[in-house]
Amino acid sequence: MDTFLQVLIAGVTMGCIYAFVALGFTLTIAAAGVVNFSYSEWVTYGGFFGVTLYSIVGLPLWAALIGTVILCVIMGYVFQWVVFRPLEGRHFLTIVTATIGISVSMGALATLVWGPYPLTLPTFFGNGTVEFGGISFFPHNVLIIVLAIALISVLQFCLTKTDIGLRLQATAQDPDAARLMGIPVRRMRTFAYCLSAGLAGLSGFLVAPLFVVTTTMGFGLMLKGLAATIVGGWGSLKGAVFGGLIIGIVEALGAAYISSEYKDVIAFLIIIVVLLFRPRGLFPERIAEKL
Amino acid sequence: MLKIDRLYAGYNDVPVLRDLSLEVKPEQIVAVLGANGAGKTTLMNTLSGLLKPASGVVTFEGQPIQGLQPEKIVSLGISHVPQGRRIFPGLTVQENLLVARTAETKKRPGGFNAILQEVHELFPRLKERETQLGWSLSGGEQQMLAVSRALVARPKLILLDEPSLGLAPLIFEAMFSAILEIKRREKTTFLVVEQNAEQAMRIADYVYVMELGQIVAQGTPDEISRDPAIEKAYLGA
Repeated sequence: MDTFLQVLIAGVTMGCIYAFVALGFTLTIAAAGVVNFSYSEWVTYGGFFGVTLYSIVGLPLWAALIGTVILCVIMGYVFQWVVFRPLEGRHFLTIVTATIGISVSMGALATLVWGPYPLTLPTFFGNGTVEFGGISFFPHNVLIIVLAIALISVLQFCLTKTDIGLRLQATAQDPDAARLMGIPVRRMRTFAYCLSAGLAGLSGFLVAPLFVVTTTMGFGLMLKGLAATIVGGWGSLKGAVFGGLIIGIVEALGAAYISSEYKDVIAFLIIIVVLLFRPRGLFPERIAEKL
Repeated sequence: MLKIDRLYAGYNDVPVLRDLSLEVKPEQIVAVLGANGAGKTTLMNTLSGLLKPASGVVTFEGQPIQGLQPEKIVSLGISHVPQGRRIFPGLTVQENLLVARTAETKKRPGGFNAILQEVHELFPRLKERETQLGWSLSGGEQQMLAVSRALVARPKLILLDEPSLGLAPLIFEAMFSAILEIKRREKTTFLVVEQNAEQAMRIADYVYVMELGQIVAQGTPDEISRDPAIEKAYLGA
């Protein structure tokens, strides 16, 4: 039982990270129809920004976290002008090809700037574990889970209860009709890109202490985030959250009770099973019909 | 109120509107009739700013508006109810109306709530459906919502694109009487494009007939319905 709970905490932690990645990836699909395959590099850069601000600039860890998110938001803003605006409304494959190209370039740039060797980032709480009710766990994992619950609740509230959230939903569901209602679609999309980039920075920073920061760090997370998106339902924010959690938990259980060798296989088995029985994912979204 | 002078517009260099001129006078219902592919929707999209015209001048209350962004055109007092209604499927009826609020909405005494009450008087069905999601509404209810959503911005001119499309006869009768009611209450001007000529002629004050991107005839509904060539081509007699 104790092992099970520990594995569960580890699974939920990774699930939260996957949910962040899937959310950020889905946001630009929903708000602008942009499938951003360079999202993996955004996450990687989040990790590297964190290391740079903490180890090289010498900021305290919490300031490095805030700085990382801000830098990523700026990156998202720049991306909108240089990359996304020209791509909006283009064919799906054009967008995918272009963002994959950018992803490769960004990966190479990261190697040039930060070098090929893995870097590390400490946690807020050192390396020790905490015992509670017979199970031991890393406080960092709890931080990730708490942050995820808080952020996803705030996001859910903002999207469904505030003016800007409803207008963002309207933009996602029908951009032309939104413009006819006087909604500033351009500004809504800017907001979505920046939010998406901020989530990438946060994911990269939070996951860094669990692994090491390398140029391929984002890619693995992105694959799972993509799996979460497909399991949850393409273009659905709710699906991204639940898809991420499901992948994280099942993967951790599989690694503990079957074999950690097959960890990645399990995530992709889930995709196959879900696609067989619910081809549009667990929470199909009507806006996905656009693609 | 609205004046279109020698308008040319189209998609990717394929011209649809060619040298189109027409005028809408205040507090009138002006109908533009024409068959499928005559360019009616292109005209509407150009007026509301979704499409940039190639050349020509559109003035609204004396001010040129061609090529402005849709957000700007809404704020000047033109609301466009697009073809196929285009309500937001994942938002509730209430939320569909909420997202359509503009600066004009607040200027009305009582603000959004007063407009909401009027909408509910006009279409009691929408009050019953208040918390239902857009996609679950019937075609008629969607059309009611689409028109109501336009009213939230307190427009002086409403552009209606095929309001009768896909509706049962009884429902579009109700739709057209609602349009007359809005005109009576709010002194709103309407520019309606329709394939259903007979229905449109019944409520219109003035009619233009469009063919291949050009105006080929105009007049009061009486004059138009007496024109034998038009009767044959558009009224299916």
